[in-house]
Amino acid sequence: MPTNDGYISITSMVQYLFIGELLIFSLCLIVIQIKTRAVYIWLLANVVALVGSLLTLSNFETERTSAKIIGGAMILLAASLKSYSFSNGLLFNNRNKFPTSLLLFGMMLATTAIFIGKSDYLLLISSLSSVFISISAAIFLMRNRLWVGLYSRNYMILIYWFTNFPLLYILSISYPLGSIKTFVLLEGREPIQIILQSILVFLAHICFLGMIFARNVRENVFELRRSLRIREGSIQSKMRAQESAALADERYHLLKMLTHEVRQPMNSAQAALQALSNKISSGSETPAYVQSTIGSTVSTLNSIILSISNSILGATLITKGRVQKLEMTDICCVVELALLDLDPIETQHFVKRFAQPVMFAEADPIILRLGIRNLLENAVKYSPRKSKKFLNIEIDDEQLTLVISVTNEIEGSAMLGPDIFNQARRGVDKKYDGYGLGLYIVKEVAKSHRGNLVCYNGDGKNVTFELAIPA
Amino acid sequence: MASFPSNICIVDDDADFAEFLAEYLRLRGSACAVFNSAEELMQSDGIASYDFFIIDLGLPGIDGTDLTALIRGRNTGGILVVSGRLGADAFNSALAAGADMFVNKPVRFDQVTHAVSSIWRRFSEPRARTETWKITPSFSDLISPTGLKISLTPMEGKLIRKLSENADVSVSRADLALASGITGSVDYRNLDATFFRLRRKIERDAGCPSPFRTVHGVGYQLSESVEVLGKDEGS
Repeated sequence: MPTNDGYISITSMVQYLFIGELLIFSLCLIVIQIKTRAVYIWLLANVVALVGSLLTLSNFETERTSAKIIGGAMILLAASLKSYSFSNGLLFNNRNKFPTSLLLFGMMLATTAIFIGKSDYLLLISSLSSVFISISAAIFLMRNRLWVGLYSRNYMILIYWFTNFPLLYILSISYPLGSIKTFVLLEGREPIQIILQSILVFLAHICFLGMIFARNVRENVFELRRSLRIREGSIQSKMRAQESAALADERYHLLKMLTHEVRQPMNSAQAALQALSNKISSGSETPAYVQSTIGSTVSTLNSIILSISNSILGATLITKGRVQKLEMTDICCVVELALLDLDPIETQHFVKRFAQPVMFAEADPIILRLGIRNLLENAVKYSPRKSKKFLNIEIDDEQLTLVISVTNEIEGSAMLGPDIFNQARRGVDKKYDGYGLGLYIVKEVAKSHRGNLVCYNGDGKNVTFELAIPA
Repeated sequence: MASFPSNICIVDDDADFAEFLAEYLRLRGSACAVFNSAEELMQSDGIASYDFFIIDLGLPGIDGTDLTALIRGRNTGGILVVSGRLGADAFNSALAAGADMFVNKPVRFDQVTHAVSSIWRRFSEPRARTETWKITPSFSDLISPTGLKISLTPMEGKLIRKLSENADVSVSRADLALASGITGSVDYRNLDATFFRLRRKIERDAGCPSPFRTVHGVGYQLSESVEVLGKDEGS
């Protein structure tokens, strides 16, 4: 405000500067568009401080002391608001109880200043109020989780602690308490006080901006992580849904295969038995005819049993829920049983060679028998009729396993693709029935016995499947 | 020793299957009695007279597993469980009850006879089951429950000694290697190989599984008790 001779005093000038600073930082707070509670409180505090500053400014020229006191009190209230903004609204939780009581005490002192008016104790009261408010702000900052870990917070705390030094200085020179002189002391030094105040407010604003930026970034990162987790969760549940759909698909596939593989042979067996029954009732049957019809029916039933067993085991293996306890089992006996599962005509083409008549290993005889039976059935299916096949059980001293190997002649090695062990893959052409579940089952059987299945096709004429299980 | 049991008892609630199987076995020269339930067999009061049993698990009333345990209490004969019930549970419970072997249905008669003779072959005549494995005080000979002797190398003897000293717990490979003096590779391959060869030797000489089992990831443990001969006399 201009003085009477057209110039403005230095005090007014620095006060103008302080007002400008408050305006600029308020604009900054509006422009950054970070809409948090703390920013709103700071804006409100700046408005309060602005009004307070204007009141003080008017006082310089008009000597309206009450307005000056009210202006000073408003600046203190603005400081209280800023301190409150660091409490994150939780004034009365355990963590904040102490700084809150300091803050309330500080505010009470500031309000008292307004009521006592121009008094010798004014400086003492306002300085004490500032001390309480700045200490409360520092402690809020130190204790509040929301601000922890932000680098600017440390500077902010430092500023608030530093604020106390000039205040304590003022307090120290206000002795003897109530002396009017101490109040007069500031008369010529008001510009210094305002400049100091401006510098502190400037630094506080800078730090505050730093803090809310950092907090904003941190919240964004958290938000990003949260959304990532949610996305991961949804991807996982989608995958689970896909898995269960695949499982349902597999089961349906098995059922279809079962129907396909079983219905046809059942029909043939039924037809054969019907024909036999007709022949017997008409008395035209011959022993040879009876023998051959029964033989082929038994063979058909055998293949049905294999299909059913494979499908049941396949379904069990696919669901992967099978936790099995392996028991000491005579592998020779299981292999013999598997061999007897074949058509008797085929059994005789196998040459057996067992390293010992009795060999035990930890096994599940049911699924091992089925696994071996699949190897044997494959050997029969993919080799020339009546060709010799070899069924050996060897002791592998190197790998410490018992090796069940099945060797048969083969017409060309083209049918042995790299994925022959996979379910529903078949390296052979359509002239062979079935869906190739067999080798997949053998592989799974090997796995469940902690063993492995390998295939050799060394000379191109013979193929050997080796099922090795630890013993 | 006869190559096939002479007096067989079949317990199966599938009357057709049981009767056809009995016919088949009678043709092979064995006497066969058929019962359709466990109760029938127990009422006949002849459990002790058979030398072999073929039992179905899924019996009405007293279950096949319980019947197996019951027979095992009164008779040392061979027991073959033939069952339509699949899965490891059925298999384990049958073996735990004292069955010698488990064969799942569907099964052909020649497979049944094969299983019967393979069980029968394992036991010497007279089929005297002693309760436990035995070992000589010097740990140089292991004697199977059927009375067959397996001579052990000093190293194998040390291993069995270590296992029998810790009969109820699994013994780590490190401890076994230390006890037997088997050194070499870090992964105890030599130790595993020694056990592997010992197993094959026991199977070859005694026709039955070894009295110890592998505890995966740990070491080995006795699966049956091994009694040190002469220990009771305090020698």
